[in-house]
Amino acid sequence: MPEYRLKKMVFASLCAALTAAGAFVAIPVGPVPIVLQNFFVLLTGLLLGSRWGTASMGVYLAAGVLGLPVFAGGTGGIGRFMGPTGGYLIGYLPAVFLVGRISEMAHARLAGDVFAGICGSAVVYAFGIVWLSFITRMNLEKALAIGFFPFIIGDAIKIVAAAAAARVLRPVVGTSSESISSNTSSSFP
Amino acid sequence: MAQLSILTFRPGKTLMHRLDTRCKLLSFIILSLTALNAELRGLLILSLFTLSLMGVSRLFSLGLCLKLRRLFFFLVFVWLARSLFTQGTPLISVSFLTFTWEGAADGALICYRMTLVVFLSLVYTATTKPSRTREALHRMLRPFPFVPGKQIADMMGLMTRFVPFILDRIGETAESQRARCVENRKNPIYRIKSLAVPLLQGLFVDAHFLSEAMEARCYAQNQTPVPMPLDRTGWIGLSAVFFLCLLCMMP
Repeated sequence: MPEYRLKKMVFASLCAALTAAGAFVAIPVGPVPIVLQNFFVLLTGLLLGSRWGTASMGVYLAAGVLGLPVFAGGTGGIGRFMGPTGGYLIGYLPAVFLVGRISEMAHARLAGDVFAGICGSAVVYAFGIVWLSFITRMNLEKALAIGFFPFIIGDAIKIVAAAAAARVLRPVVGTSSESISSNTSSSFP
Repeated sequence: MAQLSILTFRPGKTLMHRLDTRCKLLSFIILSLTALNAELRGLLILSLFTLSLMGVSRLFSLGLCLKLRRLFFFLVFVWLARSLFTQGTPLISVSFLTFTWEGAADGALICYRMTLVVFLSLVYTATTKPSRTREALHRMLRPFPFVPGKQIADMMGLMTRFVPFILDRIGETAESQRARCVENRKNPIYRIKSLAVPLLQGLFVDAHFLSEAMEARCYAQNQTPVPMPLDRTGWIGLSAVFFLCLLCMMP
């Protein structure tokens, strides 16, 4: 297997694991908990691009479907897709693809990354709210009140944080082993 | 990870632990899909079957019930939302809120289905090693053209290995920053940054070294597969599940 492909495969697995770890830290403020998943979804798209980002989220969702404990609160199973937050989970796939695509087209500029984050979050919420409304039979206004408005500020922070983190991590993700070795002393705890 | 989640592998020598992983995985998917589509009679049959599976796997414990309280919170919300937002015969009216009979019944059925699927997931993950799931997934995806089954299975295996590693690294990094008195700084952004940046950088550096180590060990996707003979018990189990699901779906 070519070195570049193997490296991307390992990074994609790490991003999927980070998304799963982000889901453990779930703060239940209502039917839709505050989680770090969205932050890692955006970061995955920004760091790995559209192709490997989508592969990473595909593996994450497949692990959840198979019952591994990777969704919010350390749960898993196909039933989570049928629950109130199922739409948000499905929305991760098109969102990470879009974030990666925009970031690639913007050549990793900060403004482009922030715009990609906004578009990605919009896609996640579009899928999430439509599904929340369908599964709970709420009208769209109520679904927005429960599944979108409480998270606007948090998501704005996550978008800025993901763009900033991507700038710090791109040299690590994209460089040769010599520069990685020189970074190691400062990056380890 | 084990401390944080209830859905983890528990070593044992029960029948469920010994059953072929491919048959278990297929059975779990078929049972979950049946649970999501069956009506009350089918759900009752499935409940009895799931409870007997839990009994055979020795999964009943008080701790388990306590750890499932987060699920209970989600279920109560779904039931309340369905009861309040479904049109039908009013049961209770408080101010502008109307609790309908049809909504309550519909919500209860959905919650019942979701609970069953969660318990089925519990039985599968508690009795199956993640490495066996990876191998089974690889073998199940192999016949499909254009699907990189080995790569998907390997990525899933790496992911499950990374999660506990990440959680450990969070603890280590937080301790090392505490030793540097970072928690005494008043600026919360500085504190978050001083935890997140070295943590993420360290994780990606480790991932890079892992990929180099895999390459140095001649990692390839055409490795000799782990032997996984499909015995008669597996076929019998899968056939039994298939007929049970047909019975559940019958009108």
